Amino acid sequence: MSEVVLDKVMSAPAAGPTGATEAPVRKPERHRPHTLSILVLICGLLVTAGLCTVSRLNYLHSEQRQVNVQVELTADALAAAPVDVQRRIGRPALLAAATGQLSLATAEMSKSVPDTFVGARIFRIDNGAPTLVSSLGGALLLGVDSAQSTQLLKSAIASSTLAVTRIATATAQNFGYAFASSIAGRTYVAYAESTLPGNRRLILPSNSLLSNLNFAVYFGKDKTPANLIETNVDHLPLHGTVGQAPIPFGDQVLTAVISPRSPLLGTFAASVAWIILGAGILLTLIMTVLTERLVRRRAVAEQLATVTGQLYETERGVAEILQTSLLPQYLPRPPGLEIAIRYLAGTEGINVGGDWYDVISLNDGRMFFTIGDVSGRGLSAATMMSRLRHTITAYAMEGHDPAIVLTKLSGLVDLGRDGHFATLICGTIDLDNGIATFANAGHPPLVLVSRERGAPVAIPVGPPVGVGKQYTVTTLALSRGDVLLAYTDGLIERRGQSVEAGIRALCLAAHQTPDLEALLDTVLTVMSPQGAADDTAVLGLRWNP
Amino acid sequence: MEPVRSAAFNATVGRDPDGTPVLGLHGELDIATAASAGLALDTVPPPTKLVVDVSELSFMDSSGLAVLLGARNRGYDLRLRRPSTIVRDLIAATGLNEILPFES
Repeated sequence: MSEVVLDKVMSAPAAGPTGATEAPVRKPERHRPHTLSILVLICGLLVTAGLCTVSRLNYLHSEQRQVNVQVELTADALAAAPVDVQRRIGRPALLAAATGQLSLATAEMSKSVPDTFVGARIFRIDNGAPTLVSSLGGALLLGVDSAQSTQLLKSAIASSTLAVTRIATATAQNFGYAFASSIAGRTYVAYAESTLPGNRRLILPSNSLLSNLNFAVYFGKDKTPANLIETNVDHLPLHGTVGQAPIPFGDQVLTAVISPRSPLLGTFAASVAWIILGAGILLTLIMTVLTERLVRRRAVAEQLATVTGQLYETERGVAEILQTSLLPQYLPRPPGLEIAIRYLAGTEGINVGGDWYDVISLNDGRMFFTIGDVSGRGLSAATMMSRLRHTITAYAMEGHDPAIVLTKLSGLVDLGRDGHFATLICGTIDLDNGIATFANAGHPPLVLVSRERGAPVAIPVGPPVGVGKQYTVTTLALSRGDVLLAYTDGLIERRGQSVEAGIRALCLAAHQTPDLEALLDTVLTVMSPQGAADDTAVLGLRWNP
Repeated sequence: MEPVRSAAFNATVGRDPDGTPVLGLHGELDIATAASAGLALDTVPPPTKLVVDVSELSFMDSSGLAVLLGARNRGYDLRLRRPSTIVRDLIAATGLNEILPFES
């Protein structure tokens, strides 16, 4: 009998501790970033760049529209100047043509000289030929008989608008304006010049529209330095968001170009893209660092899980050794009684259960056996099991019958104090005549395997020890070869199945065979408590004198 | 009140019309879930009459019995309500019919 027990003791540690030492803990690599982190970094930067670009383009588009609106407003404002010029030149021409009185025209023209114009001339046109009839102010750049003058006068006569020309000499530049008026056969042309500042930095009349703008105004459509007539910056062309618009100027056109000094949509709108860029890069870096840390932690956690698993196996092994050592190391081998035991640890948790069995010789030709189960698990259940086992031995050796043993035992267990109760069956077998006596404290019934199948032995069931104290002794006369099976509930207890059904299945599984060990093997195979959550102990006794 | 839950088990505490507290146990009451049942029990301190509704228990083992026996020891006047065959068999098999009586 002892071999079975020792076998269990020897085999238990083999699986545990050796397995734990084989896989050393691998240190995670320190310096190389994980692929996932790099991926996060790249994705983060791409998204940031995308958002930044979209934001920037959107901003530039909006800003451009604002500038376009602004340049239109500016052009409208600047267009007032030519209208003023036309009025100042047009009136003298009109007066001369309408009245033929040159003095009226000259007086009208003199209002604008020399404040607006450097000087002015009035021509009378006879059959297309101009004759200078009046001259005001200082020297004018345009020669009276020059080709440019003749051309300008022709343009003025041909059109009803102000004719404009630019007169450039080596040292100065002037604008020349001519306006023709023809009434009742009299045709007069008024001509005037205004100067252009040499540095071309004439400040236009203070205008809130222009105060925040860099601008340049060109004569004609070509934005060449030679055509520049006015600007408020030192260096051209203008930079940043640039807008341009034509300004009608008599029969010519000016081109206004503007660029805001500060963003029209505000500095915040202008910086949104850069804020996105900065925040995006920062977030990406944080995410990358976090990812790297998470990945590393997971690696460490996986290693810890492996180690924990190994420790669990080790613990389990140790717990099994402990429990096995609390169970009888040697069972007696009396003549006339075969004894076989099986003990299977449950799968649930690493804590040992409180199942036990014992067989002792009473020195009067009788054997005393016990099968029991302390409720709960863990060290306290195991030690209480050990205490009960030895106490039963003492009472049994004093010669008490099984019911008295249980009553006395129950007085020593306090569910409130110990936190456990125990179910057990104890009994005696007389080796000479096969008379057996039993008492049951809340335990699943013994199964008697007499001929073919097993059958439960009807014993009055008392409460578990630690709960009640009333027990009854039952006597049974065994026949030669009869087998008594005692077991703990792990053998018959199944989820979704009643205790009764489990006992019926056990009775069907318990075939009578000449070999008691084979009988136990069959029972365990059929009932298959290998996967059972609870511990399982089975004690087989065959009376065979 | 908030039920005490674990994977395959939960416990509820309610009251009968006459005010008697009722501990409802559902699912599997075993070593893994016994502590949950104990927690639910703590919300109705003894001594008191207590009905334990075990009709929804699909499984109970000795750890479950320990919860009920422990409650009785702490001064609860226990009655089991509507025991299923599984519970009835377990109570009978462990000789606890008089100690853990069924509700009449």
